[in-house]
Amino acid sequence: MKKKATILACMLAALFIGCGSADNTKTISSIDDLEGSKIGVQLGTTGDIYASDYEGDEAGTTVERYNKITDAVQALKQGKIDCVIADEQPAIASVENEGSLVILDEPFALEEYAICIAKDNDDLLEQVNGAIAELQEEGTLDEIISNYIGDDTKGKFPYESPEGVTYDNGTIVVATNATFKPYEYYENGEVVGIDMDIMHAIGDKLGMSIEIEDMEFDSIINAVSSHKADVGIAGMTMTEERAKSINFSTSYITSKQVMIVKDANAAADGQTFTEKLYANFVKDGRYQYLLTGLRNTLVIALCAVIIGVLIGFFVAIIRVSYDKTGAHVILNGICKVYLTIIRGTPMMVQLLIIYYVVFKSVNVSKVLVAIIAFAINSGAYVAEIMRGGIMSIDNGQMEAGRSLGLSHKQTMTAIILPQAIKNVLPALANEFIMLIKETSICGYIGLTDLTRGGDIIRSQTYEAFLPLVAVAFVYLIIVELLTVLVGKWEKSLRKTERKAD
Amino acid sequence: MSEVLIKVENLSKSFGKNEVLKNVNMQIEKGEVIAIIGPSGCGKSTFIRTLNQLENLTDGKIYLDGEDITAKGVDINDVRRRVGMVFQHFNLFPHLTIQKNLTLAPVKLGLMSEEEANKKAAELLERVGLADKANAYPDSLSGGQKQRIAIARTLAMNPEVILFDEPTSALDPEMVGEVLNLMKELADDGMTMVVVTHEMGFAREVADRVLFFDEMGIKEEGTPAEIFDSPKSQRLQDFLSKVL
Repeated sequence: MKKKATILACMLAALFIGCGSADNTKTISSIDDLEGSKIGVQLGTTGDIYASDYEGDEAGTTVERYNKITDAVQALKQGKIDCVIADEQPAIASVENEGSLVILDEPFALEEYAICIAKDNDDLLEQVNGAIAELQEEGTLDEIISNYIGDDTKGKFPYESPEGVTYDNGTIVVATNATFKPYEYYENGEVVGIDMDIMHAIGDKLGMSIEIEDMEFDSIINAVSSHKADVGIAGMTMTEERAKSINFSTSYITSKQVMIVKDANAAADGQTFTEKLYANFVKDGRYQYLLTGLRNTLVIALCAVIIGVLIGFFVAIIRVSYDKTGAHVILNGICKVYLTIIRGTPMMVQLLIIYYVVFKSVNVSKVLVAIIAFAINSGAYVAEIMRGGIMSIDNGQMEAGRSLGLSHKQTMTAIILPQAIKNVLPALANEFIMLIKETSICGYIGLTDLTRGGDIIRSQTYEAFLPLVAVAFVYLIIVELLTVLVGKWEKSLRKTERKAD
Repeated sequence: MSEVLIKVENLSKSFGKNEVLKNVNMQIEKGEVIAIIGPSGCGKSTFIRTLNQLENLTDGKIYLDGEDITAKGVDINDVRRRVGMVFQHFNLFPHLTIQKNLTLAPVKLGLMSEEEANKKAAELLERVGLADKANAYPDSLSGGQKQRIAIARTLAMNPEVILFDEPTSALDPEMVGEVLNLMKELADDGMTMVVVTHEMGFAREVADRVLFFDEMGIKEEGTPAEIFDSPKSQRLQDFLSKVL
C-alpha cells in the first residue's frame, strides 16, 4: 500500500509540474498579427473555418482544434497557443474568471446564428421560420437575448411559456453543445441559455414539447441530417459549407467572432486553492455531475461486462467446438468475422457507428447504446480469453466426462468451463478494468459518463486541473477496489482447492 | 455357457494415412478379465478406446449385448454409461471434491437422486479405502489414491464392463500395488474388465485371457499360462524376454 501511495504522489507532482507554462509565445494585438501565430479554436465552429484560411500560409500559422472552447482557453492560459478565435458571448463568459486573458476590441468577423434542420424536413423549416418571425415581431426574441446579454438587463426577462399552451403536436428533439455560455450551458444539471429559451419559445408557438440532446459541437449537423435530432441550435453560424448538409432557418441573432489573447500586464491568478475547490465541486452542486457520470460509467461497464461475458462464452465455445470437432462451420465463420472486425477497429469508431449508423433513426437511450457497443466490443476480447482458457484444460477432462456418459454440452458446462473460468479470472478482471476506463469515450455520443461529468464542470469553471484530477482519482479508486476484490476472490478459490481433507 | 458381452468384428482404425489396427476380431464374455499386452505403439490403447467410442472406427463393427454400437443413431452417451473407463492419468475433476467427482455423472444424468448418489459414493469410498477423503480435492491425494478414486468414480455408474487404459503406468512404483489389489478384488467380484497393462504379474495372476497386440492387431491370444509359459510367435517371445 505504501508503494501505491508513493506512486500516486509522484503522479500528482508530475501533474503540478505539467501546469507550468512554456514561454515562446507571440503577442497578438490585432488581426494583422495572426499570421505566423498559433491559433486555438473549437473544432467545427465558425472560428475553426476562419482560422483554417490562415493555416499553412507562408508565415507558418498553425491551428489547434479543441473539443471545447474551455480547452482552448486553458491552452491559451498555459501559453500553448497565442490566441483563441471564438464567438463573442462564449468568449466573454470564458474570460470572466480569468484575470490573465482579454478580448481584443476589434472584432474578427461578424456573423449570424441560425437553427439547422435536415434537408428533407421542409415542413418543420417552414414552421420554425414562421415562429421565429412571430417571436421577432412580438419582441420576445429581444427579451430573451437581453435576459442573458447586457449588464443592465441581465436576468430581468426570464422566458416563461404563455399560459394555456398545450403540446399536442409532438416533440422536437434539439441537438446542442452545452459548452457555449450564454447560448447554451449547464446550470443545476440542466441545459439553459439563450438558444434553449428560443427553442422553448418556438416549441410553445408550435405546440410541441422540447427534448434536449447535449453532444459534441461537430456531431450536431450529423445528428440532424441523420434524424437523430430534429433541429440543431448551438450558436451556429450560417456558412455555405454547412448549408450543403443541412438547411438553415432565418437568423435569430447577430454575433461576432472575437479574439481572446493573453493580457500582457495581467496580475497572477487570484483564486486560492480552497476557492477553486469550492468553485469546482461545491458551488451549484457541481459534484453532482461527477456522481451522475460515475453512476452511468458503472452501469455501462457492469452491464456491458455481463453481456460481454455471455457473448464471449458463446463465441469461445463455438470456436473451440469447431477446432476440436469441426462442427458449426457457418457459426464459426461468423464468429471469426466478428472477432476480426471488433478487434481490428478502435472502440470509439465502433461506438460512433453504432450510435450514428446502426441506431440512426431509432430513438434509444444513449446508455443502452453504450452498453450494446461496449458489450459487443468486450465480447470479442472475452471470447479470445475464454478460448485460451478452454484450450488450456487437459483433453483428458473432456474424455473423462464423455466416458462417464455425459454429453459434450454437459461436460463443457460442468467440467471444462468451471476450470477454464478459474484459470482466466485474472484476465477477465483485467478486461473489466480496461472496460471501465474505456467508457470514458462515451462523451462522444453526448453521454454524461464520469469523464464528461468532469468536462461539464470544466466548461463551467474554466479550470482544467481540479476536475481532471478528480476524475482520474475516481477511476483510480474504482480500479484499485476491483483489483483488491478480485485478488481476494482468486485467493478464496485457490484455498478451497488446496484444502486437504 | 457364458454370455458374450462385447463382440468386435473386422475392426480397422487409421489416423489419416497411418493404419493402426486392421481387421481385429475378438469377443469378451460377461465376467471375463482380459489383459492386453504388447509393445508401445502397437495400438492397444487405440483399441480399448474404440470400445467406448472415444475413438471412431474406420471400419468394422462393435456389438455390446448384441446391439451394434457403431451404427448410426445409437445413443453413444448411453453406451458410455454402461462401459466405464479408467485412464492412465486418472483425469479426476480437480475443481470438485472427491465425493462430487463420484456423484456428478449419476446425478447429472438423472440415474440417481443426490441422496442416493451420496450414499453410493460413501459405500464406494469405503470399498476403495478412502472414506476419509470424501471432502478433499484431488490435488491433495497421492497418485495411487487418485487412481483408486477414478475406479470408484467409474463404479458409481454401475457399468457392465470397465476398460482400464494402462492404469498403473503413471504411478510411482510403491503405489502400483494398492491399485492392482483393488482391481483384483473387482475381478474376484465378477466384474468384466479389459486391462491394457505392462504389469505382467497382474496379467498372469488375474486375467482369464491374455491378448498380445502387435503389427496392427492381435498377434497371439490364450490363457496366461499359454501366453507366458509357451509363447508361440517369435514376436511374443522377444517381447516377453524384454519385459520379464
